[in-house]
Amino acid sequence: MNTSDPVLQIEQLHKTFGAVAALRGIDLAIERGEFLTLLGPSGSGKSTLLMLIAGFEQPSAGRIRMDDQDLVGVPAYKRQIGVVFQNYALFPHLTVTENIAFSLRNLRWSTPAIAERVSEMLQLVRMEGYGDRLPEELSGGQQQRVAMARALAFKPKILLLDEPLGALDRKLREHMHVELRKIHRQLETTLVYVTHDQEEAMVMSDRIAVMNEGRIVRLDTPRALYEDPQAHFVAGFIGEATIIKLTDPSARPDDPDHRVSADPTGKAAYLAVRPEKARLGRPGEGDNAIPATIEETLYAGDVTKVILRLATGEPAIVKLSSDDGEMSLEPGTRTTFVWRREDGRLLHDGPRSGRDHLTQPCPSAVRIQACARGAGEKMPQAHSLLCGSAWVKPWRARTRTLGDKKWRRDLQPDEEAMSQDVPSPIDLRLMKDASAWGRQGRAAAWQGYHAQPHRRGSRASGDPHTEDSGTWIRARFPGAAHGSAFARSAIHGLGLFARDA
Amino acid sequence: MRGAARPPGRSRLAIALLLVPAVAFLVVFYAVPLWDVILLSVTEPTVSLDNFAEIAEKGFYHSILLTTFEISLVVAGLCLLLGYPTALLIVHLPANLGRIALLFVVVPFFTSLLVRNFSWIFLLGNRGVVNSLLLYLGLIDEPLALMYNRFGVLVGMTHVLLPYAILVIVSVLRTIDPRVLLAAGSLAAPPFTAFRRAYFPLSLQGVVAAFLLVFLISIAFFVTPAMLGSPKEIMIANMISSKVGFLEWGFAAALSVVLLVTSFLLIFLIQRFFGGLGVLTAGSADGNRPRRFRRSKSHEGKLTGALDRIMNPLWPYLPPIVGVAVLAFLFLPVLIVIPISLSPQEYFVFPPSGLSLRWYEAYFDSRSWTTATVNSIQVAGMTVVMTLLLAVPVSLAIVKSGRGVAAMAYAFIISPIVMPGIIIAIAVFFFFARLGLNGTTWGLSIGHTIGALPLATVVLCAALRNFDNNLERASMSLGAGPFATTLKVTLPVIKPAIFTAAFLAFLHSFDEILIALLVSGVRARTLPKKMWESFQDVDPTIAAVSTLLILFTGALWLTSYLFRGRRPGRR
Amino acid sequence: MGVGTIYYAEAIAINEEAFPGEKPDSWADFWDLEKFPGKRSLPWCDVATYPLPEAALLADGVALEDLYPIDIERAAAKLKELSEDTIWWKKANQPGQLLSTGEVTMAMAPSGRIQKLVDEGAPLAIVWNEGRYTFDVWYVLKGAANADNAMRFIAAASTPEAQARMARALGYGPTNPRALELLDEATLKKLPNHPNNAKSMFLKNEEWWIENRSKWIEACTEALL
Repeated sequence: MNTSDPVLQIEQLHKTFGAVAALRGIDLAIERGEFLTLLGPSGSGKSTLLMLIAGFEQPSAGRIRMDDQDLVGVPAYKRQIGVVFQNYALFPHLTVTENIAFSLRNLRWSTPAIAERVSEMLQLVRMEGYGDRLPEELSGGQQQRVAMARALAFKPKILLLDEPLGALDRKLREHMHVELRKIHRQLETTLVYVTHDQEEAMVMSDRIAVMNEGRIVRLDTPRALYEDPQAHFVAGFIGEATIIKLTDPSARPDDPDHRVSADPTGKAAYLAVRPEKARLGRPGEGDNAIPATIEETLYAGDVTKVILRLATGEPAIVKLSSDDGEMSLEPGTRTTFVWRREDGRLLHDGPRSGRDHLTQPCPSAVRIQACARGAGEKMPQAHSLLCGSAWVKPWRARTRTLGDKKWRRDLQPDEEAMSQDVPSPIDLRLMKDASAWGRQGRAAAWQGYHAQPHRRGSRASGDPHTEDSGTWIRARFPGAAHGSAFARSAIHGLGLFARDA
Repeated sequence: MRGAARPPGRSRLAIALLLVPAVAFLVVFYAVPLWDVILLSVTEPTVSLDNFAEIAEKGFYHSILLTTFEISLVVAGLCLLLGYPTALLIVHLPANLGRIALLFVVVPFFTSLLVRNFSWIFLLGNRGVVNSLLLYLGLIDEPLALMYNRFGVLVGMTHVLLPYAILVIVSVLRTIDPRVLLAAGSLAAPPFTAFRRAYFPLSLQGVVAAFLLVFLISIAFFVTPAMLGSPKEIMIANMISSKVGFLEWGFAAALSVVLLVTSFLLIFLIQRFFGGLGVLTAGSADGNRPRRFRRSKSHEGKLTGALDRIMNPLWPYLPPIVGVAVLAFLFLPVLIVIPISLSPQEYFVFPPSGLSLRWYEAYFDSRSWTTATVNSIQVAGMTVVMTLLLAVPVSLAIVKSGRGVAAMAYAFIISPIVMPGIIIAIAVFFFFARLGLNGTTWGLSIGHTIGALPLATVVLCAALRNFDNNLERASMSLGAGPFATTLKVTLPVIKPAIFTAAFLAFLHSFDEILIALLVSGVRARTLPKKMWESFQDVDPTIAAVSTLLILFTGALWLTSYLFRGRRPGRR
Repeated sequence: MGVGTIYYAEAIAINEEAFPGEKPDSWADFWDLEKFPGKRSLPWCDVATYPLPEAALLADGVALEDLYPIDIERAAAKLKELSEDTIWWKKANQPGQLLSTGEVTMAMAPSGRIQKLVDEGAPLAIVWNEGRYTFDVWYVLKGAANADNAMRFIAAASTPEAQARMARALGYGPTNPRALELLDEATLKKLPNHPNNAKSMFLKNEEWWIENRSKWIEACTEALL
């Protein structure tokens, strides 16, 4: 898709529910006629994004444009966007025909036109002869088809599908993949498909937007995502991968059995290897290798999966062709994990997905204190200029900012500074509450996460760095902000920051 | 019942033994007396159809029937019109707010019927709160006639019956997938069109059920027309009670038969054409079966188009505005008795001129009030004990045995719910007259148990249906016999429901007026009867009594909720 | 046979402040809404112990001596004329309240209740003309458990002293003529059996009422529907 003709453009879309940020700055252009999949684990924000596009929810910030129309504030029924719901939400009191004709009646089509369109749609989903049935008289697959026909009947510009195949069994689902592709080709409609099933996403989509924690981690074709995941999360979520931390990029180049090399540029310090690209045994020329122990062998017919533990302590996985059976794959066997140098893919970030941190021990709550200092000579007097603190339960993202009065009394910010305009950029200090902040928080700070832009306009960016006085992160503001408002928003930003930790 | 598997260890004999007490009780004290009423109508004063001939001939009775239907129809209509948007609001509010909003419905629902009618006397009288306020604000020069007319009756009855309508509709709306509204929205339907075409048809059963329930209670209504109406609002129940008073028993029985036949004809017709009765008795023996829908046609035309054009811009605001107004309408009148009970004057004055406890003193100093209170508590206590002793075994039998005989028993046991109260009262009164039970607390509590038993049975059956049968299987596999299992596993697990049932039975008896009026006599006079007798003395003592009743009900509710160990509103 | 206990009357009661000029003096005046404007209050049909049909017939021009047997249909028709302007009371203390607060200007009421309010200073008056009087009577049931004690109680309650005390407290007349001698003139004037009051009243025909109570209630209710 080289010539760009976006039907829908999304810019800096944010959505918060109470204290929970569901979407944190989505930028996305959906091309006309493409099959785009939003893929992510539950809670990644994909369904929220769908709701915003459909118009069932309004964004907290950001823009959605369809062709030349601004969609924000336009109610769902005026958007010309069709939706196929999870479990279909067919109208149980209406027949198949009436379900399909529902939108046409709302748009006041003439009776013959409606009849014609309905039979056309029934034909499209191969449900001729079922027009007089009620939804409860249909099988799951049939209901799914009716839901498709209903959503497509009024020729929407975009069709949104929210895990439409989730309720079907595996065989039927695979059949529907083919059907959906066919319908897509036939109608040339733009399809936006939401799923958490990466296999489904791979086989159907033109492009996949991989979402995690309210952001689009990557947007690319299935092939590009698989072949070169780039992000840690993508490597883990799409297909399987062995991820190796590059502690020292040029470790022991002389030892043929323990040799890892790559071109570490920038911050990348991880390497992903797809299981079918790896093998076991002696490395040859141009191969990388790490000693490993076999932990488990899973025979799956066409392939055999071998789970290993590397000498570095990391888990690894290899897919071997099943007829490749001369090797002993007994658990406990020592072997070497080998892959061709060019098959290793550098990841530009570290492990930090939502799923990762759930498995790690974490402090029950983290108290973050944020103070601000002026950048350079603009605010010479302003060390510990403004401070505030917030308790953060990392996984619940509950920030509670102390009221102005309270932290003014406790922390005694400079009264003069309070009334001054704050220059931008400014540095924020994360003062760690020694016991609670713990390793998690520090690690997070080191790994370089970005505090999120906040609706008041503060935006912390860049890598936190540590000095004697604490860990600092640089915050930018669009223009100058008032002292107290700034501090509060900075804390809010830090709350979100801490959530990542 | 979910799944076909029948829990083990309960033989036919055991089930029969469990069924017998409740069924026998109702046969003796309910079915036989009802049959007597029918007999009486054609044997008193002579064996003939004269009583019915008189009803058929006299225009007077036609107009009373007409008034009865007219008022019931308007009240049922008002309850739907006001109740539906309120139910919609409650269901679609965020869970926490929804629970609070529901409390605004449940509190008046559990408040004594008489208290609520008194509230309206204090509110609507010429010197009542509304007129005082309007006069004080200078909006009117003379008090408006708000009471002792049709308006007063409609307001009072709507206030009493709205909670029924709202609760029934809420329970049905909760079963509707809210995404049908989103789906309709994505299919180019503006808000009201989406509601009208995709949502409303799904709630139709609830609407019919609510209408049926309100209408059925309305046509047998007695208290409100007498308290807030004029002779123009005499309804059939008032006529029946007045005929009993003048000892024309045969004629009263004939009128009761007319009422009975009308009620059942109505139930039959509505059930035949709309369904909906199933919603009321949610959980007849095969209660948890998924709801089936009838095919409905699309009636899109000029009329609906015009309706849509008018309603679409209004619709988003309608449920919140109507709903909040209705909740205030339900709740505030209940509270009005509190300031009135504390006023130092005989009449409500606006603004109030001070605080005084003299009406509370008047209550505690009066022997007739305190005796009535003690009687009421005693009768209610006896009712609770009898109800539980009958309802627990019969519910076990019904749920455990599933279909057949037990299903019929269920239908029989819950039938007093749809039986007009005045008819039960008359039947019991005639029957007790022969046994010499009139004027005794025993007679009263037996009468009250007839009405409390179905309420308790519905609650207990619902709880038992949600009961995980594997718990009993586990218990038996661990060596407990059927009896021990019931005692040690089943009953403790459904304890919350038992407390709810006890609470409902207590309130039913504590608030019951019709049987009390006829049966209690002087010796066993209950609180509602005493209130009824004093209702013309618009004296703040009544407000003090009402306030105490509200507090008492609240305390009772709180106790039963604490015992249940659950949050309120999640019943 | 019974022993009379009180001699009482049901009559027109008015709020004097409502009629600064000529005061109403008959049931005809009661029905005359133009001459004597304001709301009326009457007992509603179910409270069928009050002279509702009698009043209606007197207002319609029937002479006192021709009242019984009552022409039910005529009475009901006459009653209908007032149906829009009447607040119907259900308990005997209501008409006094309604009159005192000025909600109605005239009412049918038991005289004693009104007299009590007059004594307390309310601007009310009883119109004895065309009032109806009758007696409340003690009975003892045949075979009653405590018949002897009941008889002794009746004897005690019927002494002139007891009857006089009752008259002073309730404003109803004693049935024992000797009790009248124990009362002063001011009290006597307020009683229905004071000659000035009694002369224009009529006696209730209890036989007619026993026979026709139910018929009257029906006719009355029908007329007011």
